[in-house]
Amino acid sequence: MLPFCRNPLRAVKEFRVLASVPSRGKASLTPEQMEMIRSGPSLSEFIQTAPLTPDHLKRKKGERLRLPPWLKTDIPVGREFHRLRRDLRGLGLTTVCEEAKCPNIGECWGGGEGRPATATIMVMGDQCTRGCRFCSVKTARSPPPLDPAEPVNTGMAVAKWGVDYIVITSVDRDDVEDMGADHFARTVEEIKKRNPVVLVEGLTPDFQGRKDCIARVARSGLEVYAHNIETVRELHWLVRDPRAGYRQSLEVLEHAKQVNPDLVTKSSIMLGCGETDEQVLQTLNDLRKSGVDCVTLGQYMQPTKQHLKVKEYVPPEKFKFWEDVGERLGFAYTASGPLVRSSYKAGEFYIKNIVEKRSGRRETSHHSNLSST
Amino acid sequence: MAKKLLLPLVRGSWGVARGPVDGLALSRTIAGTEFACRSCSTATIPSLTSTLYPSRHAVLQGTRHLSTTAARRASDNDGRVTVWFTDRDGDVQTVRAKLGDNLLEVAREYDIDLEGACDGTLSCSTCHLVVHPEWFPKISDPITEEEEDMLDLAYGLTDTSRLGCQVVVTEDLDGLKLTIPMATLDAREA
Repeated sequence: MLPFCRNPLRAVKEFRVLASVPSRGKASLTPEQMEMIRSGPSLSEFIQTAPLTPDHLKRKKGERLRLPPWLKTDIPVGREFHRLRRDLRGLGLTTVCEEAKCPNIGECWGGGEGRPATATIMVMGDQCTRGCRFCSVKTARSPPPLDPAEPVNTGMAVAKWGVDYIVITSVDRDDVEDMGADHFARTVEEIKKRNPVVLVEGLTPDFQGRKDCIARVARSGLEVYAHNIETVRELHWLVRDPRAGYRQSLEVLEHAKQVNPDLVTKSSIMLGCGETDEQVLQTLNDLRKSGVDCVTLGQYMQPTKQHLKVKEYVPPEKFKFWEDVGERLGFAYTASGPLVRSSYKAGEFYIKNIVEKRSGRRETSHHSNLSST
Repeated sequence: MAKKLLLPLVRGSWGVARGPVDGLALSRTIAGTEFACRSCSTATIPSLTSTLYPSRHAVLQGTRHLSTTAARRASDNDGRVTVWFTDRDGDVQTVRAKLGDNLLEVAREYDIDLEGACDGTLSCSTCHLVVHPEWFPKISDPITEEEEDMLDLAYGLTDTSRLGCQVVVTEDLDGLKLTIPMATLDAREA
């Protein structure tokens, strides 16, 4: 400890002299030394990022997997992002992007490169009556009643954003008489009323398999009817709420197509919950047999500590493999990648497909494959 | 943050010690059997030395062992009691659960694979636990109708099922044995 003195800085200097530490008043390196430092190795050459081995991607007991580099995303910033958020809050709207903690939020809400900012609005509130182990949307036994102004407000927001493709989704409302089917359908109708040209994709709940509810939404005017099967049959007990079901979800997709054959149907699978390749292949086959046209595959990411731990981080090459499998099975479109989500770039894929079909180019072998299955 | 001692998991044995390391876990893993003090009938003896020499333990515990009806508290050392979780892989994890925490919070503290999607608001069944029949009656928190409604939905429901978020750890639950249920493919065909 330094003795008490009136000039502490001087005391430090004196201490340094005593301790043979060079005073920092001026540089104490020779020009040669400084040159050697400047031209020599930098810090980054000493830090080696170890290559990811399978050990780092599959969870072992008691371990917590670290996020692999391909899943790291930027923090959302920017004017577009904030403008969108203001619009949503101003109209009292919720998005699944926020509620389910989607990693792509910055990218979609930020827009850019000729791509308008977009969000997937979640209607019927932000509280779901089901508790699935993969989903961070709030769960409540009896959520607040449906907001009757929501369909109109959603229509207004979508019209204001000037997007040409929008995805609407919702929570499960097992407490409402028709599970919210009419509310959902009216939202689609309100959007179409204000902009007949916008393409609407509805990502619906299972309505407990009720055919009248499914039909109400299927006939509301949307172009794409989406319902996510989420995982393989063998993991349904673990991943989804007990009220959801593998067969039930397939029937939702089948019935929508039956009610309105012009619909494009779509579903999604999460990878990394502990499924095997055979199980995923079986699920893709089942989806194709149920007439599903588009499928997306993405990496499951644990949203909070209360939710299922990630069993495996599937590398991008594996996702590419599943994309090829999807193409070979005859899906009109297969979107597969770690950060791919059901509504991720949904518009671009769909519109690209439509445009190509119209111009006569057969880049996808959708029709020829359909005739052979 | 509780220290975690990583010992190799031996299937069928009493598993890995999580939480404050004490001689209990070490002795169990090394010897593979349960040590009990005959005087105070506690299932756990907190030090390795005392484990090997139960009579010494009695002496160390002093006056408490003079009368077998004298109250002894398993939580005296650290305000915690021992709880056993058998997880979905069949492995047993021993933890020291804090008095007053509910079982979901205990699982979260020790990183046990038990989920709580609705955050303990009795709106889902993800924290469904099967209580060992011997321990089921010792849980003082009664099952409410809401809990029963949620349990009705759960896979692998048994007569001794509870929702983890509704069971609070008390003194009487020292030694509580729980199983995290898992289902097979045919559990529910839907």
